[in-house]
Amino acid sequence: MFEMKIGPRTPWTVFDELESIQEDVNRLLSGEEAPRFARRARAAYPPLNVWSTAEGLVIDAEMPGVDPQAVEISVVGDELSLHGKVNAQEPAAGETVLRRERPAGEFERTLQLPFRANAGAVKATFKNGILRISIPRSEEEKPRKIAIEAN
Amino acid sequence: MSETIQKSNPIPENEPVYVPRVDVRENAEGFVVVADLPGADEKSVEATVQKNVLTIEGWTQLEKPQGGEELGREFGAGRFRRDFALPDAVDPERIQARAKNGVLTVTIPKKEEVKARKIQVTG
Repeated sequence: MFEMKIGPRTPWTVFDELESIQEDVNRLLSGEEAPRFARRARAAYPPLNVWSTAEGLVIDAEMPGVDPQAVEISVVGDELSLHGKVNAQEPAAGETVLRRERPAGEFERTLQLPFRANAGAVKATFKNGILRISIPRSEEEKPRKIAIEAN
Repeated sequence: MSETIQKSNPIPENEPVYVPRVDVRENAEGFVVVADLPGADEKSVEATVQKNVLTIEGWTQLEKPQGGEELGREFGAGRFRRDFALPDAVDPERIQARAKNGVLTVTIPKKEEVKARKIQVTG
């Protein structure tokens, strides 16, 4: 029912691999059987958490440091697209980059919704680096109670 | 920033701790450490300097929507910690830290005497 389409992503860096190894080692050392958190999806930016609510869906996108003005959210029919730039600023003159692990560059991600959205009623808020998008179902797709006529 | 900040929320043993992603830049004035801490605010982040080691630690939090049923999860939250060995040439007394939009920025100034100076060549 829930299909994620994967769009272009930020360049893979060796730090992604190192971090993933570090996570594995930490997990082994801590004696945990299963990862406590779902493994971060390296394939797509931004990572998303999705909830179903009475009104429709709530989607959280993990985008620390992003300028909310630089994110374009579009909902057309049953498709949600996120597009924009993150950490795109070049290092200032006289500055040396010693380490770069944070994702940077242009991103695009498209998500197939399990219903047609009421695009006019989509809301988005940004708090502490997490973008929350609330997408209500379109009126036509809301469950209706059908009255049974007595003959 | 003082050298010893009381740890109000020590990390319990056995609790998994994740390592935040960072960018580190150097300029003439010093070093800048930028850490991604989505879901953290200035109250849940702590930066400490002790014996030339900078430690950033704290926790991040997710807000579950009311009545929400989880359909998919690609990121989590919880305790984080990362240590950085500082070069001798920095001034630990003047380190500054700021949390905004889920990003912690720590500015570490170099000591005055190690800053590069341009020396006027006279003929």
